Amino acid sequence: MSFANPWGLLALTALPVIAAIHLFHRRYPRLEVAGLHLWGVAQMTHTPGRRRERLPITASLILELLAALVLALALARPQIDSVNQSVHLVVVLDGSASMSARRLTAGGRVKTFRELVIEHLDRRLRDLPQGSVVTLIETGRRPTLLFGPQGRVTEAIGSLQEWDPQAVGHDVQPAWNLADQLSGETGQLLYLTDTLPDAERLNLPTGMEAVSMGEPQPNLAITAARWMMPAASDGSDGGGGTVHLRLLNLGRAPAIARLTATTPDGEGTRTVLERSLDLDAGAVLPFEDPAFPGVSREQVEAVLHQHFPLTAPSLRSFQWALLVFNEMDLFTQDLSPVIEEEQKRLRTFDELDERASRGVIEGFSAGEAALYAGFVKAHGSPGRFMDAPLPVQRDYLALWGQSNFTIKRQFYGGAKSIILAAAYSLPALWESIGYDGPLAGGG
Amino acid sequence: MRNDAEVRRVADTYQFGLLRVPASGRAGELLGRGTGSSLEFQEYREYTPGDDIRHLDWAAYGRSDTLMVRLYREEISPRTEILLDTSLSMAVAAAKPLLSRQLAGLFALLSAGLGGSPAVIPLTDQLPLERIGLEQVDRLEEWPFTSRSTLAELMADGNIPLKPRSIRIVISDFLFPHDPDTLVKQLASDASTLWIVQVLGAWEADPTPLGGRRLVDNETASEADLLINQASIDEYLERLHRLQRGLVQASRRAEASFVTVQAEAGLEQACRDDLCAAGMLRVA
Repeated sequence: MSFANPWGLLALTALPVIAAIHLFHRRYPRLEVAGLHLWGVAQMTHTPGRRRERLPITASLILELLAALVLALALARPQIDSVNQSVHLVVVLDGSASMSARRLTAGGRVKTFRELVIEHLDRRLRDLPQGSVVTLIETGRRPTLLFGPQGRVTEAIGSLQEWDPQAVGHDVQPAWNLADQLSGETGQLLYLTDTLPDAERLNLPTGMEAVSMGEPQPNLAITAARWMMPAASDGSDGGGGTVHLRLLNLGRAPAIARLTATTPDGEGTRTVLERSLDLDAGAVLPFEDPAFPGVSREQVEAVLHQHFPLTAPSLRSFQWALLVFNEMDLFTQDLSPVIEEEQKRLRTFDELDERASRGVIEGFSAGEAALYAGFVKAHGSPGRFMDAPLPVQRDYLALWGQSNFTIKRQFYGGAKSIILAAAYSLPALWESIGYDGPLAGGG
Repeated sequence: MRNDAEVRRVADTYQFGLLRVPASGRAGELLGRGTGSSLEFQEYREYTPGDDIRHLDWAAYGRSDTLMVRLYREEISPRTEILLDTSLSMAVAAAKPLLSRQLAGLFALLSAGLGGSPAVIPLTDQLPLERIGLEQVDRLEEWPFTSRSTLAELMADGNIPLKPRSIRIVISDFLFPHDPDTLVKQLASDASTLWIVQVLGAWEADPTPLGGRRLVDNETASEADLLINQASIDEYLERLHRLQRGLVQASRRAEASFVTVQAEAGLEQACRDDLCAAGMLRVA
């Protein structure tokens, strides 16, 4: 047996003190009686001169001695030693720059994750049995041995005085592997970081304890935002349109989302949308609302023509795609150009031979057929793309976004980016999307 | 003690109870065991030379032609010895020495009132023990209760100057280790009458729980820590009652009287309730 805090054994000096108190201190008031023998107690006869009394063994004395003994042992923190009780603790410290981030602790103080890691490590080291050794490894592009191997526990914390985790490139796996090698079969593995690693994606060594200094924080995000213009029968902008937002609560606790949208109104701004939404943890909530008044489809197209002229050579593929759309018969489309483009892409993969490529194309085509089957079931036979209503056009374009063929998804993404870029270039939308405008005057 | 108003009031109220067999003493108001000159007729018998011719019954001689003498009970004055325990144990409660002094004075006064010659013998450590007559009985008022010698030790050592055929009255608490049979037998030896009065303090007779106490025997200086609760009190009372039963039985065997009085009750109540009931006193 050993003691984590041997100084606590000093409390054992209370034992003789208690015994002395019981021996010399008359705890009971004196009561003179005439016939002590009638009380049936063991008598102590005091003779003149120096005298020695036997320590009276009373329940009070026993209880007080036991209490002092328990207190002393609690202070000394006894530990049962096994045959080889000391351990080798191998600690992997997160060396990424995020460890310099600050966090508000429970005590109201702001500390960096580095400081929190050192404090946690200090507590762990105090609990180690006597004779234990410690090794400190920092993650990074390559693992760095900060202390040890198998250094004295009492010197480990001091070695971290100059530790400054600032690594941008960060790979934990080599550090873990090194720690696993150094710990051997009997060592203990500990990983201290600010964010718990994805254990499924990373190969966390068996028996490694990962401790994160971070705490879950509220995390509410707009994961998708779309503004759609209604199409009028004469082909002009119907005005208004709709805004589609997708809100996602990534936190672990329910959250309240407050949506506020404003639009320029004269020299000031006018609030056009104000909504409060409750989101459970992990909930995804689609949100649609009439588009912002004052920003019309013509304005977006004007910006599109100004900044992304369809005559520009760089947009030639886009021009071709638009032409295809304009002339496209939704149900008699010829997939051969698309298939030909996909085959060219597949040939760049060495592991795919001609036969495998054909298999891939056949799979893609089958998926494409399934997509169109669902589309026809929903919308029937609307004829040419340009003649179809706006919802049908939107759903048809969505098929391109979901297609297995790369060129279709690229076109869908490119068109979406161009249109959004044109829309977001309008100053009327800057405030609603949280953009403060260019840094310079822009004039 | 003769100046003690309470003692004098009680002495005027009570007198000694009938003595069983006063054995000897000068002529007085008490009847002796032998034939004497009192007026109480005892029996007839034939005249033998030496008989007091004043007691010849001439009428009987005329009828029977035989000299007959009337025999009368002997009339004596008692020799009363009052043994007063002045040990430290009697000073545990202030009421104990007070009542003990008053009882000793009362018995001395009552004995003297009968024409006897009382002697109070305080039991002290200083030997030989002093005999205090009635004329000095007031010394008892200041008599210290500081002796460490017990009645049993003094009796066993033969240090008490007892006279034969006397009335002996013993006043003590008897709270010292002793064998009741032996002690009472020694006290009753050669005594015409033996009265034993046990004086106890109220707490000694009926202790109450006090919690933890260091008990100190004021005679032996022995000490003991004890939790005075109902359990320990019950054990104490059981031992005390066993002691008292032993004294009662030993007294009965020695044809003596035993009574326990409570000091705090006072002299008058002790005489009225206890000593009269025991036959030691009766209303005058």
